[in-house]
Amino acid sequence: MEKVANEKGSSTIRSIFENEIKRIQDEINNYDKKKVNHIAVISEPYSGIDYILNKITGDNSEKINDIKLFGPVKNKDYFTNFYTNKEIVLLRNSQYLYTRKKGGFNVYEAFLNNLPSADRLFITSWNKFAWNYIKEISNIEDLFPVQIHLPELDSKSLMKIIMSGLSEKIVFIDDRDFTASQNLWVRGNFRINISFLNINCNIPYFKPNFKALKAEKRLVDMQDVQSEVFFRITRLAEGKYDVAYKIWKNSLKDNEIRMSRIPQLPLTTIPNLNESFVLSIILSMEAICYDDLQEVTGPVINLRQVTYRLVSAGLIENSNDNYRINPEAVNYIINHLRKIRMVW
Amino acid sequence: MAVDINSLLGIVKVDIITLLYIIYIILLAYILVKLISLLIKKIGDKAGYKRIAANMIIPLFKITIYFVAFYLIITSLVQPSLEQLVLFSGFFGAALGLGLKDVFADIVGGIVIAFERPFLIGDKIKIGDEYGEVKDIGLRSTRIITPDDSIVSIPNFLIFNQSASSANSGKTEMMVVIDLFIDNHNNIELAEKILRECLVTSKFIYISKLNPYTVLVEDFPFYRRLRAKAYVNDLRYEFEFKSEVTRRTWQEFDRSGVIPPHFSGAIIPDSLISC
Repeated sequence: MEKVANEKGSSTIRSIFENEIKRIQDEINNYDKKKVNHIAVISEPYSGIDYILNKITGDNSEKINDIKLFGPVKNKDYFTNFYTNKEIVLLRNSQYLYTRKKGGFNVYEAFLNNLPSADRLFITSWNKFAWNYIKEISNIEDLFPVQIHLPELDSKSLMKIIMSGLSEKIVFIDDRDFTASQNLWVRGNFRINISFLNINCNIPYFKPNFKALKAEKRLVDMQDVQSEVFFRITRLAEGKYDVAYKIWKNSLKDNEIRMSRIPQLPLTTIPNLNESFVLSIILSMEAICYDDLQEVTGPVINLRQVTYRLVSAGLIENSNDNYRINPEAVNYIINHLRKIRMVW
Repeated sequence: MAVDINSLLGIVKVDIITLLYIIYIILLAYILVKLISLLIKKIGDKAGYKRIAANMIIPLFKITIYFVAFYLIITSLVQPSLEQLVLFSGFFGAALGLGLKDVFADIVGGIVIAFERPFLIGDKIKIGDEYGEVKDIGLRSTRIITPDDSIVSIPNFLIFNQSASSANSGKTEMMVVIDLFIDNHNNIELAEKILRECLVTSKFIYISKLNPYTVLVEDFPFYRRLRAKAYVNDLRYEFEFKSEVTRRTWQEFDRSGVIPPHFSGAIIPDSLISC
């Protein structure tokens, strides 16, 4: 994921997550080998968790063994990495301890079994959806009594972070075409089937064009272009810093932000059942390679076709057969998967 | 009080204008009911797991519209003075006695279903021998679609004398029971672990504190039954969920050497299989 422009931006993020950082630091300071309170830090994808964890490791570098998982752990021998002379283990992307498939929980179960006798304080970071899944099928909540849920940032905080990271003057340009005809009312048809007469008919009606109404209202209300740019970015990001930053970066060219470069909502692709399942796995793992994904979905789902469609629809990104959710689509995907109870 | 029957009957003469008005009211009520049902169902489909709650108000709208239509038709035929009301009640009572009582019982059943809500549109219900998803709750009957895609119309009055069970009671998630039978010489811990993993990794499962899952083992004389109970994320996938878990579990059983019951000619009573 892309990082903030400079140290000033990073420190602003840390100041916003001050409470969460303080809670973790307090647990580190009060660490007692006889009564260990392992910590789980839980966040949605692209919410900027790395800035918090970097701050923790930076402040406690002599105590913390910082381990980042980049894919599913398939061998229990990997646990030997935990046992160095440092008394605290920071395990990032802990969702890779399990894989949602038959036999995919052996490493995870071994990890939980080792935890009571590990003689270390474990600070683990988890994808929120992976955590919500795994906590329902195991007793992980009992073993991690300290659970810190990263809050979503409000629009003002997101704007503050992005602005604090700027070193040069940015010009905001509203280049939307308002001259184009945007009718405030559009015609719709209601299809009626009168079964006993075996007649299908369309009843025309007029419905308000909310997009045009909104655009017109915002045009009137808009204080300045800068506020409008941030309004649109933060609405897309829904409190996720990394998403807001990516949209910001994509819209920025030669120190100019053009309104037309900010993507529009909503996405219109509605994934089918198999596509939704694949999306739920990618969302929970945050990034997963094709082979691991294939092991989860099994032979019944044609994964090549599914991933092709999802990439084409702009829902996921493919980098050398490594898949992750497109940050701009992440909120749309979360809402869709929640609605159909594929994630919870 | 003397009532002039002849003058009263004269009032219910139907001219062409009244007839057109009645047809217009019936058509308008029908179209309104269709429009509102369609609109609510469309909104419900977009609401995902809240769709059944959205559909809940359809029967209420239907009853209201039909009763308003009925009232308008009656008032177009007779001016509701006390005398006419008494006469109408008499005719109505006679009609009921002569054969409309079943229709009337259905309508009352429809009203009870709409207000008491023993089940909603979208629920999976069982009334008598019929099981399926409720597609529509009308004034006279409730229509369900069975697993083999047949539409069954169930008269609403059955609600008074038959028990109706709703598997999901207004929610989209629904408990599904999956039974697997294995030989009683198998490693039962291994078999249970396999079934548990196949269950929780299914794409159809929904788990929460209020919707837990479980795997139970029960011994029978010639086999063991593994029973998985879990919630499917959308009741429309009930049978796909069952099928997927069963298929994947048996694939893994085959790989792990877990075998089905071997009866050696023993006859299993039906009562044991179905319990």
